[in-house]
Amino acid sequence: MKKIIVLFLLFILQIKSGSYAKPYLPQNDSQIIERLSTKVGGNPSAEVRNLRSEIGKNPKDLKLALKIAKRFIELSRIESDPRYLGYAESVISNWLKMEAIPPEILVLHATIRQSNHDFDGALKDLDKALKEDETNSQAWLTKATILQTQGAYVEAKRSCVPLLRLSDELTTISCISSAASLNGDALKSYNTLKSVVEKSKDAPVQERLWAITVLAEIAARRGEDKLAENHFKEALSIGYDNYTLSAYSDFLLKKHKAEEVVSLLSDKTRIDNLLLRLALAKKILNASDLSKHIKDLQSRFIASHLRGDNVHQREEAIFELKLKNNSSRALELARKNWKIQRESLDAKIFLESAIACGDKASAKQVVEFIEKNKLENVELTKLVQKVKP
Amino acid sequence: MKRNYDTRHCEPSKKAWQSHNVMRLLRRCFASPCNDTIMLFLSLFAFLCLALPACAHKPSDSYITLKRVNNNIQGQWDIAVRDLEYAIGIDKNNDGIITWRELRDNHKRIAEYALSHFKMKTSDGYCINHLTEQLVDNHSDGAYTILRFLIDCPGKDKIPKVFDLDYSLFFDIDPQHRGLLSIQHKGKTLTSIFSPDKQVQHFDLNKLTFLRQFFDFCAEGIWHIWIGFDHILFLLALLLPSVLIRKNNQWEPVNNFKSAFRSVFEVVTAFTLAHSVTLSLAVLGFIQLPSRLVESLIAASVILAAVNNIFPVLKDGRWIAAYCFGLIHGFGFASALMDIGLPKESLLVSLFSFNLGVEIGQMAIVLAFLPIAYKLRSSLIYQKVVLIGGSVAITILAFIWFVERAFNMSIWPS
Repeated sequence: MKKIIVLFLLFILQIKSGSYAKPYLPQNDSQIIERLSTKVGGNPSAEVRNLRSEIGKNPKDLKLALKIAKRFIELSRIESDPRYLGYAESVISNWLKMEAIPPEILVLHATIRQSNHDFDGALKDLDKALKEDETNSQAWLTKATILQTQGAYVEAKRSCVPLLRLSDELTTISCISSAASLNGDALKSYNTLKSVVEKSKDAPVQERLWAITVLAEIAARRGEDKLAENHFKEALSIGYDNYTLSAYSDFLLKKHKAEEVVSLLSDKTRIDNLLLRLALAKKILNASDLSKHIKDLQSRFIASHLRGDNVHQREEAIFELKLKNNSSRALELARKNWKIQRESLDAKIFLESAIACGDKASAKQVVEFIEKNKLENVELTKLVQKVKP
Repeated sequence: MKRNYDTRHCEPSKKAWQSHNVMRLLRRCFASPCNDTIMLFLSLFAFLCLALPACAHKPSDSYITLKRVNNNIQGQWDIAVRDLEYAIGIDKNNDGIITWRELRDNHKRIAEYALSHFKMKTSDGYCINHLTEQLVDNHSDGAYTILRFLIDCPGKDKIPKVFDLDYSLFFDIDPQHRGLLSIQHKGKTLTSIFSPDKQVQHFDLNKLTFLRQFFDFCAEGIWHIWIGFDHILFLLALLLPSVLIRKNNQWEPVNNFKSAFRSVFEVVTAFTLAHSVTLSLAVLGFIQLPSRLVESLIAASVILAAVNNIFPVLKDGRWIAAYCFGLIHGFGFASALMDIGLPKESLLVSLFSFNLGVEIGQMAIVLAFLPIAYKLRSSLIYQKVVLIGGSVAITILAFIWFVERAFNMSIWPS
């Protein structure tokens, strides 16, 4: 079934696009074939080449490999280019073949796997790393994040606890509040985290950005829209982060503030998640370039299917439900996605697709999950009421 | 006795099958370019023309297409320029921009590097890749260099059907790279993905033959009618009275086999004709109905057919019912066929052979039924127990199906 859908998406795309591209022979020597950086004036190629030659000269230097792999993972975020994750993996591949893999290598490998939504694989790496080195705070933190994504809140909180003695207060409380707020303690988590944020003005930007985003998300889930909006704005005023931007866009979309989403995201079309939010806003505004965005998204999902990835399942489900009106395909994707990740957004798209399909029974597992975890989320609560018999 | 195939949840996922698109597609396919430039290959690159002003990034993939051209195997390989830059360095002046000059100057290195990372091997040994041309193309995520090459294999058979492919491009520098292969053979396309865990793969094109596909789909058709109890029961409900005739509000046995056969023949032909029509229309995308509606109507058709045996309204013209409800059953077959997955290059073959399979399955039922029914037609057992009792049982069963499907309830313990 999946195959046939992919084939048909290809058809539609091909037919709609009107003509086929053809391989050609450029006529002019100075014609630009490719720009290596997506940033204006940016040029990672020289840096990347240096990094490669450095590790090429000292392929067994663990410290160097860690430094370079970290830089590649960072570049993957800066350039929004998953290729760098592959490069990072190759840099550490020598150590991955070892009998006793160094814990730092395992943590990096886990981060790469996490980016590819191989959560179980990542957790295995982290557990191995922690067995070797209980004091690796990054390992505890990454583990907590993954467990939270999987909806295992109790275990996630447990993974945050060692940070109390290994990391600073802001990181620790962000970690715990984030998980606890989804597990019946939203208000308590919010208040605790807020007081810590207020006294941690000097903490590193990335840590504060994360903490304030968590505050914004808790407030949004509790229906405290004014508070949420302020926190989102504060977070985006201190730094840039795709995750925060995407969460804020979802919040604005919920409030039907489509124009604001467009002005936030109109130059972010390269990033799939943000392009999706932009398209959703354009749909509300009935914008003329909506169809182009839909085409672009479609081509990205197809490319992802062709290589057998599941990284985009949630976004594709949202795409199918809200932009293609194909509720059955959306439900199929949401159901598959639910097996892999269980964040509020995953629950939301599952419930929405089930309602759109008239197949409320299929959402039973989501309702049970929400009730079991005492998940406080006004949006989800409304959907649950619609689904319940 | 729960149905083996699950068509219960919600709307059909076939909204993409919009009729005008499919028409255009078919026209295109039959117009000509299909034989030499096959569809999947085209569609792989279809989104190139949607080139974005700022290209989105995706993980690294290369695309290889192999096909037969005259007496050779021809390959086309699309490799991302940025991957080549990372692997062998093309940006000579380090300005972050690759010009045609820089790419052209590196053509030889690129070809040597790439072609040594893709090998075909037959039982006679390794084949040799001969480069024929190098071009440029734009995919949705940036520029690709295009290598076209011929594969020359040792041994007598220049177009081997059984071989191994060994793909190792970029795996050393990017374990997340994938090689997406498509082989076109006699109008069919076989696809596969190469990854570091699956560098060497075995292919046997004999498995792709036309006949093989024909029989596969035929078997699917037979299988479907056998596991689709609702279709069998509908047919049986219509056939049960065919060895009898209604006279003075009573069932009486027919006089001769000929008239029983004729009645069966009418019903079966009408049913076949009707479901073939809607099966084709649905699979080709001209009409779509929500699967819940179709499945509910199928259950309703079984009820009506069975009740008609107990309280006959339609006496002689059962073939009319067979035709009308056959139209609905066709949609049910279509959703089963689409669930199997249709090879788009041979849509009509698979459609035809699936349908043929359904007919064969149906015939088997009729052949088993008719002689026995004919033999028993005069007995009270047939007239009361089999016809009336059977129809009552079918009605109850179909009613449960109807409630389950129409109201999305579960009555059978699963």
